[in-house]
Amino acid sequence: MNHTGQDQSSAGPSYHRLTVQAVREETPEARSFVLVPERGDETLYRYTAGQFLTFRVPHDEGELIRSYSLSSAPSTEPDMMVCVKRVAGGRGSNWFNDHLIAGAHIEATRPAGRFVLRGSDAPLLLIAGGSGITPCISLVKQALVETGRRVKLLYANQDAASVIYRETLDKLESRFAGRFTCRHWLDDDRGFLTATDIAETAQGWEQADGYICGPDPLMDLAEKTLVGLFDTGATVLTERFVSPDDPIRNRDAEAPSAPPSDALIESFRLTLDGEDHTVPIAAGETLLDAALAAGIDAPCSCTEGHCGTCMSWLRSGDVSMSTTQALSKRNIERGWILACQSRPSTSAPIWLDFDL
Amino acid sequence: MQLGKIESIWRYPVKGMRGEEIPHVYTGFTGLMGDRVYGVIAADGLEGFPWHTGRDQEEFVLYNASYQSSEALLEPEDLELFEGHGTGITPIYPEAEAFKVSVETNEGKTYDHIEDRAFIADLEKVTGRTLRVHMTQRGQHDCRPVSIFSLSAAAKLGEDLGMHIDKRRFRANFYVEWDNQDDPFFEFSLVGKTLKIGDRLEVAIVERDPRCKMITLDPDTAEETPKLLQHVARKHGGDAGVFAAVLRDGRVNQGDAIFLT
Repeated sequence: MNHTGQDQSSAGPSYHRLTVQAVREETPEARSFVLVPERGDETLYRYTAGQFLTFRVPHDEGELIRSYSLSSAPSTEPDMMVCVKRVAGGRGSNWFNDHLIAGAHIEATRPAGRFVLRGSDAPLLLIAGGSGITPCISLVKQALVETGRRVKLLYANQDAASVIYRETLDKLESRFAGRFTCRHWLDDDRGFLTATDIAETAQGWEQADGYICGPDPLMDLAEKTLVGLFDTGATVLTERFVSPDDPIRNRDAEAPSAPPSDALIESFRLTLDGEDHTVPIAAGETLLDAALAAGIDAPCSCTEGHCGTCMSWLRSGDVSMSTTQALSKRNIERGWILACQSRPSTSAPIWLDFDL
Repeated sequence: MQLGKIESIWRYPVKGMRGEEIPHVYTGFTGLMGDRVYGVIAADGLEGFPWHTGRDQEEFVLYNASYQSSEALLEPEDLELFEGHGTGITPIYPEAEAFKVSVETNEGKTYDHIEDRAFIADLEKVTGRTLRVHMTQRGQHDCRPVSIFSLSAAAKLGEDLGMHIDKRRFRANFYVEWDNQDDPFFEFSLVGKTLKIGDRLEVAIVERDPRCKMITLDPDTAEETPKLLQHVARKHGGDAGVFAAVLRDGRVNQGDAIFLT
């Protein structure tokens, strides 16, 4: 399930200026950025551990929209902090690392996201890979400081030099000895994590709340393994890095985005009232806008992702959604999308069905 | 001039959960007594709409919410004394204890009171969200304190779509039967007008009711039918039913006549 940013008002996402108070090198490839809102905007940026910000990146090739999780926690740091890892070909992540310096400004939406602590006493079992540590360490800090819950983290990286927040994790283990353990896993030493490795880590934690964040293959494996191991009713939450307007923003596997002038597909199939239409679509255009431009009476109302009127079934193809606010988890699992928020994300042919 | 009558009266003890049909109710300036007194707020909800509802968890519309003292919450004690002082005197509502509401989930699990910690803990487990219960006797409506929807509108929508449309999808307070047989959506023509319902209540019809995904959910199965919302959007501008503001408070009974003032 893709996780996307959410609009914060009926007028769509609103961006506010943040100042970069400090930049810290965490690894040769990853930097933390401490961010403070403008005076008067402080209340807008109250957040819950595990949430993310969506940034408007002023890239030379055109504005990019990128979401990055907060690695800070409200209970442990006075200011917000995100950590961005450089990725080969990753325009957003590389821009952060190359251009964003202390004292600079950047615009971001208010914090959002559901990858947050539940109000329970259950222990926490977190599985992170690479920069997937960012929301996880936020949750770890918050849980350790604000609750009495036990916490276990399995953190996979390619090698020792890639481990982000190593020092912080060591200090937390020392300070909260008996409540927090971090098991580091280095692929170069032991190969990729397997289901057996994950099951071994999870042994005795079957009643925990599970949190998973990292590259897709790791997440898929970890989610499948934990769901199979955990007691009925236990919760497993995942955080995948898909953000508005760009489905390929996985921070650990970020691929170059298609420039706005390059359409991924030229047209798509739309079924409405028993009729099939071939709808031309331009780069950056939503499926709904393309349908309306083609003179099709496609159902819509708010066109901002809130009302759910343009809920339609994606029979085939891939899209990214700017917001899924009107969709439940069940809707997404069943293949429903919001046409007003959906743009093609691959070159796979799209078939959108309003008749189901 | 009489326009129709109240077919049934409904209130929703918990916003988003299944409603209860009641024989009569005091309707004040903040809406029906006991309507949407509780709501569940999600930590990651939108700032202007933080509620956890069937939009997020379809089965939530199948949760039964019941006041333990339902009878006591139909009208304030000594209502007549307050009414004797004229319009605008708000009667005293029962203490918060009287508003205790029990919940039964779609899977049959019951909680004596929605504010029991176990309820939220279990709901958080089901939904993966951070949630809390919010209570206020004033009611927590999306737009206006009273919603009105006609049986003729439900029937016409069903006819158009070739399916039975249960009126409860629209989660109105007053379901009405209009005398007008020509216009199934007669309530739309009443925007801007004032109605008297029963002996005392007066309401101003202030606007059409813009609909969202909630009406797509079957009130008995929670299965979604997006086609209904799509039809409402394409044929009726996305609206179904109307909202009213209370001009003069009073008791409403099932079967009460509705007059144009």
